[in-house]
Amino acid sequence: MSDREIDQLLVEKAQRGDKHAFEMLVIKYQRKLERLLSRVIRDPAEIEDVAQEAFIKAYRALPNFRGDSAFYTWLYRIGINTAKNYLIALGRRAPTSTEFDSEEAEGFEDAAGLRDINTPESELASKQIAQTVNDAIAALPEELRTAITLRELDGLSYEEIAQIMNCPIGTVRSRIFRAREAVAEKLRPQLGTSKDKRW
Amino acid sequence: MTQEISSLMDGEAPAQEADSAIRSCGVSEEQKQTWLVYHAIGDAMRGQSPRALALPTRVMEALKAQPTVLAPKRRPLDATFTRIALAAAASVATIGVVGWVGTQGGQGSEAPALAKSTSAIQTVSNKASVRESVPDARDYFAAHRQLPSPELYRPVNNRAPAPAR
Repeated sequence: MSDREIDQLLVEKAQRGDKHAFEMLVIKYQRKLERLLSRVIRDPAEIEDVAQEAFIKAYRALPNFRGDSAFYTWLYRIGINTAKNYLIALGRRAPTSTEFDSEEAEGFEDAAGLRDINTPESELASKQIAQTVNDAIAALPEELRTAITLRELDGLSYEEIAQIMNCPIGTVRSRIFRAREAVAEKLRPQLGTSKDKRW
Repeated sequence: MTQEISSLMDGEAPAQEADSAIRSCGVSEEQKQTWLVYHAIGDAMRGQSPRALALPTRVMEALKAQPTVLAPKRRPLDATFTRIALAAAASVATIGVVGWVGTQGGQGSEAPALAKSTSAIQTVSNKASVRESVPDARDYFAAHRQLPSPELYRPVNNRAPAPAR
């Protein structure tokens, strides 16, 4: 099952009335959408508001989503249109359609080519999260580190990882899970609420 | 359950397990946080470290206020194909039956078929030719032509009464 298929599964559940499935899509894509919107809107608080509006619009339009494109591409278009309308309503210049096209959405690497929209606090938080993850990964036993690296960085399937590591698929599944849990344990103290966030 | 969430985000969870993981995220805040943290780990490993680690509670609260959407269930592709195939087969069968009936009745009923397809005026004007073309009718008219007219049986004097003087 590809990333797109996982999204499609969640979309179909949401279309059948399961709001929690849509919440999982929001959790998955909120940061990515906000970073994309930062190319159009400068103020972090406004970005958050526009992202929220985009998610609500997407939820309302969910019955019309047929899965012809990836969910994220569709969400991206809604986000960009919402941002344009927001800027127009404020009398600011909205980007032209050629500045943003939907093809960008699929291969968008949000670390590159973005304005620095971090406040000093959020930049510190971001660095702390990165440091915690890197330290936790470095401290993992080798087989766990290899398994999660092959999965997260190389995007390999469990079957491919099993072949490389010469072990059953069930072992790969368990190693990746244990690696995630070990890192998550270090990260959980940094969990907050979005009310604290405000970038 | 967290292992199922881990498998789900990798696209490696069987359907039943995926359902179970999604359901657990729906009912448990802790599982939602697990979903969030697991994604954040992947993002951070790819150099896309999030600016904060928090559930999007504002969006989730706004979502709660929304009426639940319900999209009509899409039929799977094979079911649609079956329906189309059945409809096509039914059409072909209908055409076949109509064609067969037409062929069977065509030999003896050419004239009625012709008559049906022509207008009322033409039907009237074609009466003579119909009379000749239908064997039963022709025999009938031929038989009746041989009978003497009723006038032949009248007395001669009745035929031309003498003028009264």
